[in-house]
Amino acid sequence: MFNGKKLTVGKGLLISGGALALVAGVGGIVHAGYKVTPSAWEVSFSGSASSGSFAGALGSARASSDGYQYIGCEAGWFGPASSAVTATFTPTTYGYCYARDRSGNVRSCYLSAHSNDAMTTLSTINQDSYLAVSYFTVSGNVYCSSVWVDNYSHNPVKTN
Amino acid sequence: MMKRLPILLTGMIVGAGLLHGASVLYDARKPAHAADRAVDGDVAAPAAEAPAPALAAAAVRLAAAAPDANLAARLEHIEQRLDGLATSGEARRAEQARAEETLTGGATPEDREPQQQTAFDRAQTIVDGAIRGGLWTDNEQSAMREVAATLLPADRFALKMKLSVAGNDGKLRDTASQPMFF
Repeated sequence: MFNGKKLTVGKGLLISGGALALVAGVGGIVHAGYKVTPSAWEVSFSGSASSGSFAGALGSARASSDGYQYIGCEAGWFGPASSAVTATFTPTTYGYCYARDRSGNVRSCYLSAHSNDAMTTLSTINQDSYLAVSYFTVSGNVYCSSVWVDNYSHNPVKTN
Repeated sequence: MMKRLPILLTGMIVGAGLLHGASVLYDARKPAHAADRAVDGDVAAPAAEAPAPALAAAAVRLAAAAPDANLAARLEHIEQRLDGLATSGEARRAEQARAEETLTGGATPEDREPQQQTAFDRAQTIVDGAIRGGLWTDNEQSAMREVAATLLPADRFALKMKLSVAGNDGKLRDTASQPMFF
């Protein structure tokens, strides 16, 4: 009788513990949210010299173990070079996007001074962005033809 | 109650009069506000991109229909301003095109000062050597950084594009510890 009662209490504790672990586990999953595995968004290329694209997440490239990967864009503003032309000079902006994959292969393109709207897009890039850039080549110059920026909560986070 | 009736009626009449007066004043001021906004430049950016002739024609039609001479003058001023904005927008785009042509069109030896020519020759040797060997390393990177500041913007751009084309073509690997471009 005594042994039987002890067994019942033990079972109860076991069931309670299991239920608690289940609730905690489910709760943990719910709080984690959807996340993209960093390795899934490492730098990748497609196309050739005449036209193509490159893509990847800044967080994935930085977290990669190869020591090569990076991806990003830069933009510059160019104003007058001397006071003599300040009244007539029209400032211009242009930029570049680059990527290097796990083997050291590179892709890059130039953002034309006409692409003022693109400069606005570049300003939305942050350390956790995912970028997808396409390009084409004409007269020896490689122009970016599109820059896509994803800033979602599931993006791999740049940690260090 | 009867004693208060005249007071009540008087109050209602005065109130209606005030409301009417306010309405007339508001209607009279509306076009002036719109004109002030245009003249002050609040709508400068959209106007510069909008089809200016259509806007100007609308302004002229409004001016012709307006009984107020001041308003007509103001609208004419707006029309002139819209024409000016359209012209300045085109001029800005033309200037941007010229600036880009200067950058992407390349430089000639006549464009370069002696030290710029020296820097360009050195930079070109570095870039061409890397492309021939199919490899960009820390050596090329540091050598390029030494001369890059002296290069003409057009030369710097041309050399970047040379590297870009070679890279995109799969003919150049980059193993440098810093980003390839300088």
